[in-house]
Amino acid sequence: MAAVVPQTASQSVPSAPASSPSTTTPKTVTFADSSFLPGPNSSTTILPNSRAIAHLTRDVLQSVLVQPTPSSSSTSTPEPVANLKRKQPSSSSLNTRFGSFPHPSLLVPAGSQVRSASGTGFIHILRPTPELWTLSLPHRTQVVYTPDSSYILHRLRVRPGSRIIEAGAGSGSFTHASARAVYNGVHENVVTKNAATGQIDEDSKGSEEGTKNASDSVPTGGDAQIPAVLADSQGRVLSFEFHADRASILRHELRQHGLHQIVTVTNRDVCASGFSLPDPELDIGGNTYATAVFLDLPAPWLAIPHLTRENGSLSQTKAVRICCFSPCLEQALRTIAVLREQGWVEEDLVEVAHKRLEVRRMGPNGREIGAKSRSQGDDEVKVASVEDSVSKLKKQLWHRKAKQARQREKLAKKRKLDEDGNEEIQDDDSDVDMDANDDEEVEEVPETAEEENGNGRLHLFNQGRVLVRTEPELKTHTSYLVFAVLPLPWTEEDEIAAKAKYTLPPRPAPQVNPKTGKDYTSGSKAPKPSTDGKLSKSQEKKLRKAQEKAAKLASEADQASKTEGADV
Amino acid sequence: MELIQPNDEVLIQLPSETTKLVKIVPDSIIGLGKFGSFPANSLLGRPYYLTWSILDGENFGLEPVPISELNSEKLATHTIPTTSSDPSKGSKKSKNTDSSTPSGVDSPGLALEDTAIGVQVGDDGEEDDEDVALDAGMLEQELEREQKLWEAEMKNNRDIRDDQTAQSMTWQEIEKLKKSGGTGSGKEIIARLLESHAYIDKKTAFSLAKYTKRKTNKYLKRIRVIPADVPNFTHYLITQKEPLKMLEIRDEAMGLMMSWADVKWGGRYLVIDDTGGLVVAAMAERMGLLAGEDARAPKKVSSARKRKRDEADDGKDAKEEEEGSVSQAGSSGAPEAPEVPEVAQKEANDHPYNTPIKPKTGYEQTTIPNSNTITVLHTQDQPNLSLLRPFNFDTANLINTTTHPLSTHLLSLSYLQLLSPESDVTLERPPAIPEPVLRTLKSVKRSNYHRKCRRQERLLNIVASTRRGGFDGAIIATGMELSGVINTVTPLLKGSGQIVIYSPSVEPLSEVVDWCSTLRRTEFMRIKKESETSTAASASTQPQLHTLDPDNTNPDIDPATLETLKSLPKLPAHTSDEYFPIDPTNLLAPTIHTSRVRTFQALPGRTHPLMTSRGGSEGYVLHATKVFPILEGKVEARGKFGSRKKGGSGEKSGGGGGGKKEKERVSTKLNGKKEDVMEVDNID
Repeated sequence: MAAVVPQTASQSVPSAPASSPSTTTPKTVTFADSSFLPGPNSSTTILPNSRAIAHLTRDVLQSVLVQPTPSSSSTSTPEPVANLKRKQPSSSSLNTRFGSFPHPSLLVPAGSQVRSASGTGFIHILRPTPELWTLSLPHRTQVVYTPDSSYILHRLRVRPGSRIIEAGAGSGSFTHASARAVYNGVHENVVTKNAATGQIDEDSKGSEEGTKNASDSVPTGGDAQIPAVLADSQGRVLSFEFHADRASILRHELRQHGLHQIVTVTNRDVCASGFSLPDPELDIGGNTYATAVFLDLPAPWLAIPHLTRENGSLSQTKAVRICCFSPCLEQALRTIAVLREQGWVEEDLVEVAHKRLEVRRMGPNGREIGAKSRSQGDDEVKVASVEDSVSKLKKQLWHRKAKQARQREKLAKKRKLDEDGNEEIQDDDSDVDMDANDDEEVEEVPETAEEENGNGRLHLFNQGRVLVRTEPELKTHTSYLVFAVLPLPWTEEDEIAAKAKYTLPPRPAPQVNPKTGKDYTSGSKAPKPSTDGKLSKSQEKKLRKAQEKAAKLASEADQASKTEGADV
Repeated sequence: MELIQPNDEVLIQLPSETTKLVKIVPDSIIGLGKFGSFPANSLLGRPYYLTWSILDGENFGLEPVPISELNSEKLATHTIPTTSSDPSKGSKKSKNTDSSTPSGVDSPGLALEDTAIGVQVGDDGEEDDEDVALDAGMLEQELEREQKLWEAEMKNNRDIRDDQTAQSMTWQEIEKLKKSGGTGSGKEIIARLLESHAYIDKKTAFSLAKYTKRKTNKYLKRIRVIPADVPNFTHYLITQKEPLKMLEIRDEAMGLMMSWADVKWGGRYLVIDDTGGLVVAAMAERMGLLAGEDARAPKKVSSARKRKRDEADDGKDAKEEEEGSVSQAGSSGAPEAPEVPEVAQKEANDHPYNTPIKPKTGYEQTTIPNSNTITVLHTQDQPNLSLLRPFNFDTANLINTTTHPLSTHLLSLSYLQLLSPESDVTLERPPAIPEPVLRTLKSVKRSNYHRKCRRQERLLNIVASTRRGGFDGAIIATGMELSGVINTVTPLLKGSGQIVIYSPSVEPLSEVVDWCSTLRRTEFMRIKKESETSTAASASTQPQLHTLDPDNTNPDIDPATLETLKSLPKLPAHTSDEYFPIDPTNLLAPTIHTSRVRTFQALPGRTHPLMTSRGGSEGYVLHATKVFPILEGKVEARGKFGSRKKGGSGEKSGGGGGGKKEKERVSTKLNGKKEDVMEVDNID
């Protein structure tokens, strides 16, 4: 009787008004039109004009912006900065080392295997995630990789609805990861100006109502202390990048990925001018009110003094967490010193060591199955065990003996022939050699991966044992991470107010153990208050036991002395 | 404001550098063993991360320690080696100035340009050099100063004798000071201890700092209260509770899992969680289902609900009646009855991100949200999610947690309910009670009946939605045999969905990677193709499906429910054998990660990695992507391998089938040779 929901339902009705499950107040919700985020458009198939990741091999991933038709590439916004090192991708097809893939052939359900135009190669087409993007993005600067970014976001408690400052956006790897982390379905469309194209987001007008509703729904009117913008519950990434070109490229990418409503990229040197936002860009005003800060700067200690609650860059109502990402220990120490001066606590200096493991199979012949033979001594047949070695050597001995015997035989024959004066000596000689070769080297070679082995198939892939080792290329150091927390300010007035609100109960009379004089007032171990000086039951029991024991000992001693006396 | 609220569970950092999980019950007294005790009310309404000193005696309670004092203590220990002599002050000054001078004020951009990014912009080269030169000068100065310092006071522990006579202060004196109470007592003790230590001026600055710190920890009863969020709680569990119970998941592994599984707001995830709910908690945190005011509301609402229930005792709540009748009608199996929930469902589907919030009058909601959900697959009747308790979600006491976001967005079902729901007991409907009889029943019995009906309905919805699949990702943290789990979970993922498996040891994961090895996959495809072409074997190689088992169907399941179960999508099942425990074509590029964080002691002149840290499991995370293989035709990648062979072996080849094939042949050759040798040996 329960209705069966058709699977396709999740794709219907875009931008339906809905209440976000995490907030109690109903808000107008519009969904990011992004393949990185869940929403009506994150359907199971790859859509035109969206980002997809082509998986070639484990380490080779290529990102592709899928164009609907080969000719329509002109309609998409051009790259803001054309002269960057970045290769201009072909507009009509994706070219890989496994062949060429025309874009229309990539409009398939995500996760599909796609054959190349020539039909000889294949790739997998995947939906983008920040992790895959990190592996395939065009590098403009050093990238913050997933092992670091995942740990940082975890420690910074970046959650749906959080606001995070990211300074030093760089290639945008961390930007994407944090955009996913803060996304909470709520976002009033921000009037973002695309620096290069001068486009104004079209959606912004339509959603102004939604914006108002959202901010109106929270009573903020008379409260002067908490600015109205704090009621804004949208998760945001406030990204700063001092390199103008990088900033505009990042903006362009975020627009392509549909994340521009979550991320605000500001071209600014935060060390010099702090974290306030240029007013028109964001309808949350000029303040960031962040609860998390990630600084990937060469000199974070210069930016930290700009992070205060007073100037509106940090949240007024929550503890703020920071992470500074510095490759050198000196930088990290300097950062910590400044953080301590500025009143941050819980400072923590760590380093993430990450490894990827390779899994292979060691065949019964002591050779890795499927592994490329790196050494030159490839022809040497490895020996798997002692028994193997012994038997092999034994066999060689028999071969040698047999050979010697044959040769002796031949020699005898030859001598005989010599004596006979025949001429066919040399031919015979060569025969001898060939025989020997046959015995030793020419052996039957099965062509397929398995061979019949009496009781069933012998699968090469199932032989031997599984081996695990660290991958050959290892990142042994990425950066030192400095974490710290800025607690909410707590003044004496606050303390007095809190004391008035939560009055202390009268202090209970001290419960002092009469025997030991120990104060049990606080601990749970305190014996139950004895009513009239009597001991509790358990104590009585203990006492009784102790007495019994003492009595027993005494009697034993008595007896002992008696027996002794008897002996004497 | 993020303040400590009544009945919150918080973590208290003790002077002994351990943490304690404490529930802040108003008007109670919190005992911390030897560190004393304090009233809970002196923490309520206060922010987290402040440091308090425990006061004894007359002003029993807590007193905030200013952060400046805390940090100045630390900064003071920084500068201790230099305080006595002149160069020290100079150095401190120079440090302060250079942190703000050249690179800072004049050319802040320059500093940005050179270090972390490692790219030197040509134009700024000169100034960069200057900057570097300045730094170098600074460094030289510092080195020189240090050298002098060492020469001037070559202190070491040569003259310090390790005996009890060094400290002339007796414990009686200390006790007396302790008894005197007040704020200053601890500080006084420390001061006196330092004063009366015989070798205090022979100690090096570092050892003095260490001594002071030790004594501070002992005599200043300072605590810090931190929130019991997932990272803090994990740290607490792994260092102080039973780490084996939560599979020793560290923060770094948890971060990797959450990232690779692409856990985000709005997604649908499958979880197999043998950690007692820690993984679920971490996911819920990432999905906005844990934090916030809602999570805390239950206490208030529960009392409201109680009142409501009291009212319902007298006169019946209209809404409850209505909802009751709906489920009641459904239970009777009347043909027109199912329409009502269907409509509700349909509505929910039209707005996929609308979480249908029905009036909460019952035990649980019957309809389930279509997004932002966590579906827990468990082995027993009930999932073990006991670690969700500190996050105000108590599975044992669901009635009081109905306002928690998890109560609607956490779905749970057992393997039995997923794979063969027809033999499950919980899908039985209570025997239908006709409306007139129901009216005469006592309210307790009546609400019990409604609750049972709703529970069955909800479970049926969960089973249906889970079997429909389309999950964004799956996280598996279990000690179970993984092949079965993977075979169950993989078909439910959507294309390009992530599967993430955590294991405290690497062996189970390496096995999984081996099950997907290129050789095995090629062979699997070959066999599959072979059997497809040969018509005789086609019947046996049809994709296996989980179907209803007529022999094991629970006879007490009513026909309507059974009908629904029959209409559920069939789950593909892979029959695992010795060679192919899982379908190797469904998982793309399984990769094992392991990550370990190394913590440093960060004090100038004394920075080094911590001497000891917790051992145990490293923690391994495997992730793979669900893909759809091309089923027809040849599926072998033939890349441009010619150039690579010449080029060099630096490039790794992963999916290149063409290259693989050759390698395969080589190793086969070797293998065959070996086998032959063995045979000869046997004959001999």
